[in-house]
Amino acid sequence: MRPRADEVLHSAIWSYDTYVVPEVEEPFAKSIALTVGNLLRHVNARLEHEGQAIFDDITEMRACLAATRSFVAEIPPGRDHGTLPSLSDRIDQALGASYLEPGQYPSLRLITNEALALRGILDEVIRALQASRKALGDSSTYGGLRRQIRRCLRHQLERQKVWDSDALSGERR
Amino acid sequence: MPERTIEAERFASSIKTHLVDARDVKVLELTKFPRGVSRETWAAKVLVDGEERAFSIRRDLPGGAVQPYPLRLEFDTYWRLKGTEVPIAEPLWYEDDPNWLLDGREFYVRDRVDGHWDVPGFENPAPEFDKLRRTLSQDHLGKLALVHSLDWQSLGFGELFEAPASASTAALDRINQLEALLASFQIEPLPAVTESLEWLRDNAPTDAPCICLCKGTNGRGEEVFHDGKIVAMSDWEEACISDPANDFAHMQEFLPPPDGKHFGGWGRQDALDFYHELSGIEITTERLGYYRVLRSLEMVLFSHHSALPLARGTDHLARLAWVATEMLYVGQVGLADAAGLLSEEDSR
Repeated sequence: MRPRADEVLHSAIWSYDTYVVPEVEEPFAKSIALTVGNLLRHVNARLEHEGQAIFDDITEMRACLAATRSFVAEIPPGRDHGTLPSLSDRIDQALGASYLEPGQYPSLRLITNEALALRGILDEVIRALQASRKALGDSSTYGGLRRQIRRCLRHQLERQKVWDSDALSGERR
Repeated sequence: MPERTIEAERFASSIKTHLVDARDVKVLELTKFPRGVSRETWAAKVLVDGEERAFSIRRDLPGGAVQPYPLRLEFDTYWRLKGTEVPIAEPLWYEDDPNWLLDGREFYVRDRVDGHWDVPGFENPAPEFDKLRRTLSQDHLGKLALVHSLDWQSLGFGELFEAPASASTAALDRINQLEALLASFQIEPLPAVTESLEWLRDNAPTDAPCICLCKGTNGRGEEVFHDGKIVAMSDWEEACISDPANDFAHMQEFLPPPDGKHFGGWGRQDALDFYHELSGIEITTERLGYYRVLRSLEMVLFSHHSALPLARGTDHLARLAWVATEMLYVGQVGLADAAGLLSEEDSR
């Protein structure tokens, strides 16, 4: 198993930066070479961190969606719900769906599919909450739910930073 | 590898078709411009009936443009600027004849203006270059004032771009346009962007003094200089009708910092006052700041648009992957930061 994939990639990046990039002189090719170096570092960071990050994203998004379900259920009758109630079934569907077959390895691609499905419904929840702000915004549970979702989004961006920002260095192109 | 070259013979045929009286055409040199990510620009040296001419060729990348706007729109913008006071490279023709496409791609041709995107010394932090930086900034602000003073309606820009309903709704209308455009090609949800749209709408300025033709990307790297002066304003692919403050948010390196550092003490407010005197248009720092956030939304659009050819397998250029990852992240963070999402003490 050694070298691991990340060790092989690290070796490739080091060799590429040390021996290939300095030799490239044609301006367009030089620019592409710099970009490729950064993309390799980006991939290396994703290999190491993306799995756990998506796993954590999924946990937080599930909690947000469950909180949305509770919030909708607790809205007093007569209040304008906007489109929130119509999302309840789809939230349940997204939360209850099976994203893995029994015995299937939870590959990055499969958990990404799950994260994307949850992001999709979370995106709709955000729109619905924004649309009902005038009607429901004075309740503390509304504010609490919005804060929970915003915290979840902040954490997603913080996790992504490792491969979408920190891993990239030097000239981009 | 057709995507790495321009087929010289086909280009020569296109010239013969569009340049009246061109009989004998020989392409001497074709060079790809190394800068720029969104589209390909080629410099062509051509012998037309014994006379050497220089052209620029613009075409999309094999899988389309980075920007979610058609190439034709860029050409049509140039075409309408012809004959105005705004210095540009003269547009010559747009090629969409299936017989003469280059690598199956439409392209357009403009005269090549002698000059360079950079001015030596601009990046040198030594104080003796402060005057140069200030002069370049003033020249650029003067040219922007020309753009913003154009009668965009009579020049037909209202047919090209969806104009805001009024100056007071310019920002809000722009958000709606961009949101609809994003939805038209979006391949995955971007909830942090959706959440931030609320802040953008809540804080949209309503005090724009006017709407005008805005250039979009402008400043260093986007214009052509000769002898230290702008001889052509280039790269109009993000042009739109908007609050002129929008262009100040797109300006690259020519707007001095508030304290005037590296511009000999000539600061941001001095630059805005200078522009105000030329154009009669006031740019407030509040509107400028707001449009910088809106710029992050535009960044989200073009960076997410860059993911399309990769996802479809129609283009594999590394620059697309870079734009679709890092730039998308930067755009999202710009929006999230303004909307207060990044703060531990989210006060909402």
